[in-house]
Amino acid sequence: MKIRLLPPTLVSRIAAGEVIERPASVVKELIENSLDAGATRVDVQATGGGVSLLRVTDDGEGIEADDLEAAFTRHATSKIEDEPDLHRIGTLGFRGEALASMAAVADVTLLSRTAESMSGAEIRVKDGEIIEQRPRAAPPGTTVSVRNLFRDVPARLKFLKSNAAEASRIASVVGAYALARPGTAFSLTVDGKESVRSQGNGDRRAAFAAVYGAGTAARMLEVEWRGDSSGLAVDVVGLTSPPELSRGNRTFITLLVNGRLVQSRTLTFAVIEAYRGFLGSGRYPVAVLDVAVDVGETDVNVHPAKMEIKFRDERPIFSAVRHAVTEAVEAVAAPRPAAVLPGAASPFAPLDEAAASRPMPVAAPISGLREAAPRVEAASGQGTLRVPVLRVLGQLGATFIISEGPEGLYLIDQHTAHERVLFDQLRRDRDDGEVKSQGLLEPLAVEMSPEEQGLVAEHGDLLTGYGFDVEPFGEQAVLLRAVPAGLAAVEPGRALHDVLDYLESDDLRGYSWEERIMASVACHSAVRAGQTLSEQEMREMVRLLETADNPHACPHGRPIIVHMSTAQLEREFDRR
Amino acid sequence: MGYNAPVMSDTPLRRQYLDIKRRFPDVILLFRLGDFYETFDDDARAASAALGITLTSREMGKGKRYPMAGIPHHALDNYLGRLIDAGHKVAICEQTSEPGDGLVERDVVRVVTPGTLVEENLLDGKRNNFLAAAVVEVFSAGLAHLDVSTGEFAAAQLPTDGLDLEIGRLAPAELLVRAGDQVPGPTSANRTESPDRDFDFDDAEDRLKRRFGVATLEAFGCADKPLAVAAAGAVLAYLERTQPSSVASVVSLSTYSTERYMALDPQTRRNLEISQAGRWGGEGQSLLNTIDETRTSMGGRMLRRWVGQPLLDREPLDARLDAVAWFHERPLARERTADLLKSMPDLERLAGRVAAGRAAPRDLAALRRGLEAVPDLAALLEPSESDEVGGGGIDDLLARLDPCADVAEGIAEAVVDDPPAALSDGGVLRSGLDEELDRLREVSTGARTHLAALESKERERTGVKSLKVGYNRVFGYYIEMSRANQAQVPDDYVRRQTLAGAERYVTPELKEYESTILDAQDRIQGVEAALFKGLCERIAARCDAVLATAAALAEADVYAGFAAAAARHGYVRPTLTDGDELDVVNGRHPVVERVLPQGGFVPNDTKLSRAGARVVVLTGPNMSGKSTYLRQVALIVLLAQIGCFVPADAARIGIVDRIFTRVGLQDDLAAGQSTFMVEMVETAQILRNATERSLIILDEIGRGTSTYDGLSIARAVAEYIHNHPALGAKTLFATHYHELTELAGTLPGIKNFHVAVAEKDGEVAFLHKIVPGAADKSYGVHVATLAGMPQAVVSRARDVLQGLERGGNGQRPRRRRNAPANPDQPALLPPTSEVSERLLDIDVASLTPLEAITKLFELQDTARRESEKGRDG
Repeated sequence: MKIRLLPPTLVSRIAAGEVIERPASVVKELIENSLDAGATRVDVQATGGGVSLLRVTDDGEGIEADDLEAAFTRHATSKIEDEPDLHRIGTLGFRGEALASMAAVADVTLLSRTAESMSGAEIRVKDGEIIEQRPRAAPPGTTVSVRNLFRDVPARLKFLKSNAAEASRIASVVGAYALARPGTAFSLTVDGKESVRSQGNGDRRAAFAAVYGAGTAARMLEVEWRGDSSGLAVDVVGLTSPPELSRGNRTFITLLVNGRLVQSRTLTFAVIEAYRGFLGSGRYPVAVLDVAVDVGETDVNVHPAKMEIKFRDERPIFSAVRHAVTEAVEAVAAPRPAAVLPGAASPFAPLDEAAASRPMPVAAPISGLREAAPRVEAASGQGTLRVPVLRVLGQLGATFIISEGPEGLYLIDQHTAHERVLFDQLRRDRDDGEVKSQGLLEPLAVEMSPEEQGLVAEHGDLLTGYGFDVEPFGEQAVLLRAVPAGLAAVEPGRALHDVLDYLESDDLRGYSWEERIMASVACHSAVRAGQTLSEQEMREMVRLLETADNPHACPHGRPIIVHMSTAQLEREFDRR
Repeated sequence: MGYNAPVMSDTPLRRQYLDIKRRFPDVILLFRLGDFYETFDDDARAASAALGITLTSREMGKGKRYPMAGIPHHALDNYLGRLIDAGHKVAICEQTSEPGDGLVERDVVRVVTPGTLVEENLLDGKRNNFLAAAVVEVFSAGLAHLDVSTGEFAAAQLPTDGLDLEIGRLAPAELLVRAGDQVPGPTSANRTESPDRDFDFDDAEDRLKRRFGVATLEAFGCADKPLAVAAAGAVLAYLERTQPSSVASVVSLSTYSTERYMALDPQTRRNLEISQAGRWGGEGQSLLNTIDETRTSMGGRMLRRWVGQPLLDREPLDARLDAVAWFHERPLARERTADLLKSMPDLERLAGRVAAGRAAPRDLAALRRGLEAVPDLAALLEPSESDEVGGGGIDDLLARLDPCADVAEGIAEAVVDDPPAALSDGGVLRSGLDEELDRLREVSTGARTHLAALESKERERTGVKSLKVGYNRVFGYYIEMSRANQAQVPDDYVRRQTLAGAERYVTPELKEYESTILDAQDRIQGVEAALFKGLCERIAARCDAVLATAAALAEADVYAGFAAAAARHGYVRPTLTDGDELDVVNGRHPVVERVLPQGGFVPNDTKLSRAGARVVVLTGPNMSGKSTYLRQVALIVLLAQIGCFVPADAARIGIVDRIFTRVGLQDDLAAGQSTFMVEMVETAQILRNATERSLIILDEIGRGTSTYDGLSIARAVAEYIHNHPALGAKTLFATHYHELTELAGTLPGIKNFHVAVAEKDGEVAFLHKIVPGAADKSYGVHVATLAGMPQAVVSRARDVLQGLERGGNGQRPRRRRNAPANPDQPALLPPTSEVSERLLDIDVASLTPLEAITKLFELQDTARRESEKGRDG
């Protein structure tokens, strides 16, 4: 096969692919241009997932009409002039590739006006060719409209996700810059609907509220750490979440270096490390942090997308970030056991191998088994996690069962444990068609509110299916003939009221009515905290728990077992 | 509507109907007959026409059939709304005695008119529904308005010539007038003539004093305003007559003076599209809905009121702006305020319903919920430690947020947390509240327990294990035994119902318990109703306080809303002064900038003052944005004077006493006036009423007549405004008469501005940028291109234009033939040419595209005839 020189259009398309991967990359490049132009407002508009149209408008300094053509030439930029500049990049863009790359894969119109000029100028570029340039009315600033992205690059187009998914990537780019630049007002309108709007008053918390909501913003902790890390001056400022506010993945950690949005595994890990011992497995903090360090210490020219950053020496920066966040978190959280300082290996043996690589859930010292104690997360998606065979040692505070197993100490919440056992039992009984019901010696007339009566009327069959026998008995009353066997010990009228009240509670939102009834019956049948159990009862409970489908969480998600490994105990007692 | 005298041969029902109908001759009488409201005779015809219901007839008396049309009783609200919308008034006649032997008693319980609607689902939450009354004397007039649903009641005494503006602002749903009074104002309002005695001062005063239980009206500020009192009295009289049940919601009267507010005439309201969308119509974009970010109906109504009543004093305006600034600087507090307000019920209407005795159990629960949220809101507005300058701006608001804890607690103590919809559902009041109620409930519960226990007792007695005690709605409580056990049925069982495999019985004992239950429940209802009524009355006595809190909440809502709009659209706080400057940097039109695509609106500066430029003559091509600019300046001033931030980078505004607008060609077809006449009437009004503190917007004055007339009038108007000692108002004057630009050379206060145009390679771009100096071209031909004129016409027009320009010494003739400064302009075509005569008469810039094309065809026609004539000769 003969080797040929590729035609220039194809060359630009290939090069463009590195910069413009998807609509969100266009938005990123344009926002960076706007910010470099000193914009105080950046408005982004997207239709059809950003493929039909992306438009970014700013109130920045604008481009002279004479420079429009040059703006679309590859490696043309106003941002750096020579080699030394490249090593001290202060602007977000510098490669001079963005507009040229867009023009290679989309129809681009750029309208711009400088404050000094009366007239705006518009240039239209298609397939890298300038179609038209003419004067046009415009406010000071620049508007870039990108239409029909990747229309002539089917391979790329095929790799795009649904419009909604692309729009959500665009939203996260805009949100990230809104967080990064609280002094600039950002807005995003997707298919005519406003989805992000920050006010740009310079307040980071306000910008945070615009992205994550005012309620979350109000709870965030201030990070302000200025210091010297191994001889390097590093400042870390921003917001980070209190331990009780966490998310299921690490995309809620937004990192900036000198105001530039970056993706850095190292720094992300530094943030997560600061929460070691405070967050359960698979839980991550929400944070926005800006790291200020001498520009010469960094290299942003790693990849055309400019999202990656290299540090001359990353250790001092890692340690600065970790300390900054730790300081903020420890100021509000209960002190951790001394052994669980950041950097130390996890003191807790994992419940399963899969969790070993993640930060582990940690229990507070025994005396501190209180509200603030971190919880064991409901083990979900990890297959069934059976409880090992346990030996009951005793009961703590008439609430927890203390037991010993092959891996150390196990603390069991007697109420949630029982709830789980009963829930599973109910489900089995239902499947076998033999739900146990306890008939009342004498039928009981129970007064009902109209709402309760409505629930009975609506879900009477389900209630009957789980052991209640109810029928209407005049205005605002029902006649109760039987209750689920598990509830036999409770005053029957009370049992019915409790179950009905609980059906509508927030705890059970999202569950089917059938599950709600099962959970409600289980919850009200279970032993309460504060109830002293005999050793016999505890042994029975543990035995039943060993056979439960999911022994780690009760039906509505509260933890059942807290585990402390022998190794952990040994470490606590300085035996290792 | 026809009135039929009762005749002996009529049935009693017919006679009853006619007796009642005689008292309500001018309304549609809805006559309750069982499950229907029926209308008869002419009413039936009208109702059938308005509602599209079948017109039938009913025999009442031997062989006598009368037209009849009916609506089912449960659909009353829906049909009521449609009848009112169709311009009818409706009297609702209910059965007032229990059906039994003989004729049921009936009486009218309510007369529903547009101004007295209270049905929640027929009212727009964000708009007041006003019942107004006006009384007119030679120089002064009285005007009162009442929102029956909220109890908002206010009266004013004002100059007679200001009455129409005030009526226009309030846009009452119904206006009461004295027979024979000439009351101006929009003709669209439903007008009702009320008897003279309703407006009699002494009667009115007595009526108000009685209503408020006071010896003098001084506290209401209207003791020295007899016409305000008369109008307020007339409103109250009308309400007492039509809807006695709602009178209780009228708990106070406020007196206001129209002098505190900027008068906005209807044309200005319309031209600026303040609350009603006009030419940017489509989505119904008006100034009001562009800036409306209120979260409650109360706030929405207050905003609407504020937009209609710009203030004239700096102090209250600065206070409003301070409050808006507070919210603007605190996005977090603002958003949390908005979140709280979102779930805040309409306390005004709730209070109105409680006072009028129409409150349902859930209304009280909502009232409690709303009041209980007030401290949360207050906590958000508390100055925090990080505030450098105290609370600044909202201290006053904070002080007025009275949570009315006694009211909320009163409800919390008495009413269950989640009460049923209707009082008759029972279980509204808490146990422990009232001994009698508790006792009755126990009786009922006890009897039920006995009934339940009866089952095992009867099982034992009969030996039938399957015996059951049950209940159904039709037969009440029963004992059920299967057919198989028939033999065991005791003698005292009475059969009630037969089912497929079983029989149902009652016994005397069962019946006795049942009647105990029913009896107790009857009495429970009675007791609950009485207690509930008492509670409502106690709350009604605190209505004033609740309404004051509601007003403070509404205000907070408007401030937070203004701040949200400012943040969303990029508005800034204007600096208000008592001077005469109007200085706006990069001002924008708040509505147009929303309608244009992102990055499409070009901002412009404005700089007007008495000492500098007080009259700006603005020239420029059609479609270049002159009108938008003029309106934008007026809207910025208006926004500033309602206390809102403005769409600009900076604004310094000397408070304006009035905004006058005379805009575009707008035929008032309804009034049968010609375009030119309307224009002149409006201009005359402006010249008569404007002061040196006014802002005048004149767009294309003098277009409705011939060029010379128009030009002359336009010039005279500009000179008059500039020179008249009492005038000198800040004026923006957009015109096509380039001749007017000469004024700048002779009169010091007049400056020329024009809209910039860029020309490149024969292409023309309108830049929408206002720059100093006069326009040198009008680009009419270019506009014709933009309008889609056929290419042939455009190129011909260009040729003609070039010919004209060459003809005038290489210069475009700026002045028309007989313009005084250039009497001997050379003729560019032979003097005999008709074409040239007519061409010269055309003011190209002012032509609409359609006019232009018509003119061109005419010209071509004339030219063709002329050339033929030339050949012939």
